[in-house]
Amino acid sequence: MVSSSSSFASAPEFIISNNEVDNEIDILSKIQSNNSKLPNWGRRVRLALQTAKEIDTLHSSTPPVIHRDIKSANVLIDRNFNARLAEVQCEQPNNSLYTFTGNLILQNQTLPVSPNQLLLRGCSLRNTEYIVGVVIFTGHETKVMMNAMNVPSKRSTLERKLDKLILTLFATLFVMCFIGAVGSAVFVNKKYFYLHLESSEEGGAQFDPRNRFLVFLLTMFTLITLYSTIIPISLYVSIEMIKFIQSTQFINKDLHMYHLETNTPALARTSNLNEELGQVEYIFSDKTGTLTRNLMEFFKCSIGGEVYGTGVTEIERGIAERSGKKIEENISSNAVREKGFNFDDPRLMRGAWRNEPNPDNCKEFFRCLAICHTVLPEGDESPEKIKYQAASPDEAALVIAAKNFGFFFYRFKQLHCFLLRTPTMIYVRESHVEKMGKIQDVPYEILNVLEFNSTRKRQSVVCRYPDGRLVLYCKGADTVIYERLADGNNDIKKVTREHLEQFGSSGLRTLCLAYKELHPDVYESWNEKFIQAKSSLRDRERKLDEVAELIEHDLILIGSTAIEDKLQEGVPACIETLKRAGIKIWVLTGDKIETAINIGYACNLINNEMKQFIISSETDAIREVEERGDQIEIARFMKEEVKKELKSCLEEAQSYFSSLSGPKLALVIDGKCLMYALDPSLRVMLLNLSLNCHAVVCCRVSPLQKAQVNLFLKAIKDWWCLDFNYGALQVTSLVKKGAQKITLSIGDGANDVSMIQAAHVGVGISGLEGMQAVMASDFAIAQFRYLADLLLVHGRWSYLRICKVVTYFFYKNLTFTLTQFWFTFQAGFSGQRFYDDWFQSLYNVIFTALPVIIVGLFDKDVSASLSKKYPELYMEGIRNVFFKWRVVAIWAFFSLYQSLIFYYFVSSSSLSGKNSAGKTFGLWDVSTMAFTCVVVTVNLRLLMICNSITRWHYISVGGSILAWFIFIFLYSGISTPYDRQENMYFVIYVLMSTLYFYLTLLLVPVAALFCDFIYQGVQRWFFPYDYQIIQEMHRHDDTDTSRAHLLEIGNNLTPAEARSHAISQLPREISKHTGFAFDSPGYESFFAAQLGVFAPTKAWDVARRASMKSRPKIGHK
Amino acid sequence: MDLDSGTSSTVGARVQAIPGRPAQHGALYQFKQQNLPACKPVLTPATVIATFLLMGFIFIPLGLITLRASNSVVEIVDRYDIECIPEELRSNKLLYITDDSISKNCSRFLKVPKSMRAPIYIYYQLDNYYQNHRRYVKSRNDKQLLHGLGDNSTSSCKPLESSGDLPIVPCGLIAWSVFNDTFKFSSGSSELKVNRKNIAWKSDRNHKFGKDVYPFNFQNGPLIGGGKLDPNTPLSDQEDLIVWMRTAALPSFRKLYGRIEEDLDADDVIVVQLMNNYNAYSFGGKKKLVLSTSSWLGGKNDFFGVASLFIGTFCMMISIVFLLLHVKNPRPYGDAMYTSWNKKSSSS
Repeated sequence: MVSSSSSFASAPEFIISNNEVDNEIDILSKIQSNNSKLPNWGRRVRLALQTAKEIDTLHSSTPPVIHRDIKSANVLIDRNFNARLAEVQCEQPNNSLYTFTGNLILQNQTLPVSPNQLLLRGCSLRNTEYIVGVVIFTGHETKVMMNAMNVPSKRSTLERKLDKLILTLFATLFVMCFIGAVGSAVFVNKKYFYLHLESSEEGGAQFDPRNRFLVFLLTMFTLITLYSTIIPISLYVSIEMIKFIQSTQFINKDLHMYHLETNTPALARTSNLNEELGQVEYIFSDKTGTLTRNLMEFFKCSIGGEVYGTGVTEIERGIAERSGKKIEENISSNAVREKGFNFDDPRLMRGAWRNEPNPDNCKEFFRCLAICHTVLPEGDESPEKIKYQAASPDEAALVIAAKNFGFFFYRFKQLHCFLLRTPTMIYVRESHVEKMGKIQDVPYEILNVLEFNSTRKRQSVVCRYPDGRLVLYCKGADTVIYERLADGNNDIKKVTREHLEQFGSSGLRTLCLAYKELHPDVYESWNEKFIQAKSSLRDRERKLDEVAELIEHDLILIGSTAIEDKLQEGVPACIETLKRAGIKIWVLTGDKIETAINIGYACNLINNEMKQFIISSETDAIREVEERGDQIEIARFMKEEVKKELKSCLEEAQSYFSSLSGPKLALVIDGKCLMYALDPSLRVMLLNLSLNCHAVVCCRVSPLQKAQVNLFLKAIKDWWCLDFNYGALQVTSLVKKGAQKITLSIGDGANDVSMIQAAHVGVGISGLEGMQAVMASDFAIAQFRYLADLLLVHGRWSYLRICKVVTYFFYKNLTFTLTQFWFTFQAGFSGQRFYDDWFQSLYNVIFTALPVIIVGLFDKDVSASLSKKYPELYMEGIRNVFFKWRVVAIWAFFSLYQSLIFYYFVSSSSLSGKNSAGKTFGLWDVSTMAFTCVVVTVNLRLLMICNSITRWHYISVGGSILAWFIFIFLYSGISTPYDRQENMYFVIYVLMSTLYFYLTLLLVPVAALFCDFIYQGVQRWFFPYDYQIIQEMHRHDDTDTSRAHLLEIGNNLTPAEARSHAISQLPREISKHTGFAFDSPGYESFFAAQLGVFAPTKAWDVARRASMKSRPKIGHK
Repeated sequence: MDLDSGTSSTVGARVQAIPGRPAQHGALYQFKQQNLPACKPVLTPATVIATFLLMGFIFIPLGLITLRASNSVVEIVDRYDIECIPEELRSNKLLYITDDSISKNCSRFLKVPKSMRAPIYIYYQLDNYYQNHRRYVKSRNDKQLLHGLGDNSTSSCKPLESSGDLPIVPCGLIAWSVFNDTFKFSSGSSELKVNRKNIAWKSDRNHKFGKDVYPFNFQNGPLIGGGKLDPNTPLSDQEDLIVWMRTAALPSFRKLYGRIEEDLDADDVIVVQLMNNYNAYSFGGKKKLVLSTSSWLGGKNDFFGVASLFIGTFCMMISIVFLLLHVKNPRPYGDAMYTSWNKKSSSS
């Protein structure tokens, strides 16, 4: 494929050059802008000739390639000002963001192009002034666009139920029309001579008794238009409006969800799902960055068998508290404290490591930290001002640690060099290396970077010291590093292993560091293989892994690092609140089972009162089978085991939830078992078990499995789809329970995107991991703890409000239409309008529109603080108490009743004289009176559903009634010059001249609302809703108390207290495992992409573009 | 998916919309923080009882007053459509009413049950007459009624639009079917004067029917529906027509015919001489003559009084029932034990 010259879309994808691509090529325009190097005229002529020649080559090729955009910016020249023709070979457009294979062929040289040189659509330019590149994909062929195909559009469950209600209304409409039409067909008779029914004039067919079927049909259509008010068309508009304001004004502007430190407010990215937030029953949460801060802090380390670092983690503190020990914390006053570094040990700081028993080890340790990474420095080259751009916060923390130990990595440089083995330079300012206090800048030449991925679980760097020494530094998960260590030095290995376990049980994330000196010959021969692998077009990743394997062995262990990933502020309290609200929480994490349980305890997810079911693959039996190594056998055995476990757990669980007082249940399942449990034959069992657990912790979950959990999410969405393979009895019970459960996923990283999209509601944490999760989410919040506000306050209110709005709309339209319906019976089924056209059209638009919107915005049953103080109130939303068919039926009953009152009370007035002058009312007098009663009553009824009445309620309700009167005063006061019936002329003045009108206006609304009032009184008295009791309890509370103030009442404990309380409930067994792998979502998404799982990119994935910083050049002609 | 929001650092820049803390009491602030001052009505048993009591106190007297007003009205209703047909023709009412040669004269004797104070209103009442039928209601032309012929389109008057080339004035079914029974009253030997002026609403007379519109070609067609109009009287003075054309809401309706401006004593016998012209027989309608006095509330209307009395009493009763319930078996007010989650745990 020759470099294409197709049209440039607004956001194409580029490949750009880097150190591996010819740095001698340049483009003309750049040189022109660089005045000093302007070519002379001779050169210009030569360039023009060469350009023409190359174009000729293009045009004469078969098939001919037409270059449609020849200009200086598109001419590729080399250092000697020769125009060149380059060729790009690359893969077809696809949606895999993390793979790209291609070659740039220039002057018969083939240069490999990898994802590192690919600039995805939408990336913004940083760190460099310009990029020269070749457009590879444009428009819909870009990788980003191909990934963005199926963004699910979500509608709330309530709205879907609303659709059913609307359908019911349609059915009602047709029934009513049918009755009316049949009536009409029966009614028409020529005996009503005054109606001239048999006349044959145009349009007379509607009531022609000679063709009753036609009468039926035509009346049917008439009545459909007449009764169409039963369909609340304006409902959708009103709801959209309400939701829009709710999300943009309330959720986005809520100061309780505003994170001051990062200046991040909550962000509702869709206004569709506000009320869905009020009905969430299952929360699926990512751990890193969601429950924890993803603010990695270098906390401890072990160098050469010695533990450094005096800090005490919260989990350790909890363990100690339980065993009654007191931990002395001596924080020295001069401890260096910065973001990413929470470490203090006088033995290491300020060069003191020179006096340690193994200073060389320390030196290598620090160098490894400073060199082995893919971090980019930014900003001033001083220790205070520098900023590190890292793909994962772990890496940044490690480099910051090196800085604080005196190995300050301050510059990163890529040289221009045509050769592939381009050295990248890392400059490290080393202190105290030669002797105390001496500072020297040392440039290290980075020869190769063997990147991290989830299969390798390690990262290596080959560097050349200034003195020519070649050293390979490696860091990675303990398991992979230990496999590759050289023999000997068993003491250090053993001690370090113990330290790793110790770190792990304290909830720290560990990494092992190792190094190896390389002989130049060995390196050279290896490097050739490496280059070969790197430029191969097929299977490049796998080949690179294999090549890396060749050199990463016989390593020498230096030590290990321990990084703390702190729980976010308020997480335990929030989880506690959510649990009380009846929400069941699933946590998905890559941690080991013990660590996951520890985290579960730390964040209050699990406590000792809960019955725990643990399904783990780490049993002896399984291990035994695994050691035999037969994959099929392992799978079969695992499945059996999981089945057995599930069955026993399920039986036990059932015995618990048959007794009411049973403990809450928690399920801990590890990734491997989950994989087998998700097998269709076992899925129902898993579902049955997990849906009854209040907390589920899935540990050791790979990103791929996270994606599999999506399936599970969907399963929860549609219970009954799962009835296969299960006993008929069970199926019915499942279906009976079949009310849809509403799920919410919360996560912060790219690996959570699929989970977020699959759930009913996706919440993204706009945190350190970038915007991927936020872009995919429906709501974005800055901190996990805001979830309580989002769900318990905003969600619950939205749900209540939308329910009220919907049922009220239903009520008011039904009432109005039914009065019309009753009139039809007494107007010979002719389809005569009871109300004037204008009344009917303006009823929904003006006379009853605003108050209901005000309710949708302002109604609060209990204040925000009480919502959080009594999270149990939320359960009303989960059970969907306020929008059941029963509720709708009650409303329907009352509108039936009210419409009868309106119609018969008012029409009874039509018979006798209605003023002292004996004059009688006509049709329009009666209908205007009825309409007045309807407007007044319906508006007053609205006030009866309000839980809090602000001045705006009064204004809107009063305003609506007033609007009606103003309208009718004007409307009946003027007679238009147009040819139309002046039925309404003067009607209201006639009415108002009678006393009867005023008395009716007093009696009818009272009579109509009378039953509603009894119902409300009785309901509240004998069958109170929970919120009503809370209202009663706090009726005399100061209404002005701000939420912030009441927040403390909400949890009586400060967050710190709550957390330490939670920690004190940690389990007694002490973990024997080391902690965390290099669990970075960035890498996980990479991993996911490799497995063909959708995991979109992060535009700022720094590691990917580490090489982009230099002045790359490439062009196309 | 557009990734133009660069790096994580721009997340902060994106949200500068939130200023620092705005004034804590600004209306907009309160709105956004959903902290608007509001009253929170809570329906306590006391409020419920008091409200019902109050409604009782309002509506029982109101009912009594209106019922009394209604009872003070003396009303004489006489159905004459059957009685006025000669015995021999009762089997063929249609023939009777369509045959012009048969005299439509008829005498009715009404006994005054109680003394009636002037003015005594004379109504005719029609039952099973669908003045509110869609075809009927729209068959009129208000412009024509007010301005006469002009160049108005009279298409709304279908099916009685025009006679010959000219539109009928007044056109349409309503006018065509105008009621044309006439009544004359005498008590003893003296004739009772019937005032037939000012029987229509003033707004109709003055603004809907023209002062110089004359029904010059009315009822000239082959079919004659109802009464004829004096072609020399402008429509605004044809109050019969005006009253008739204010179409009634229900198929049973009364229309004002005139006023007797003399008192009638109890047991007086009034002789009504009527011309039974109007055809209510073909569709099985009823024709009634109503003599009624009037109160401040209008004519006789027990319904209103009974309804308010009923509502008032019912409210009273409910309030008493609630009160008893409240005294005997009060629900602890605002007791957390009644919340569903506490109930669940306590019941187990």
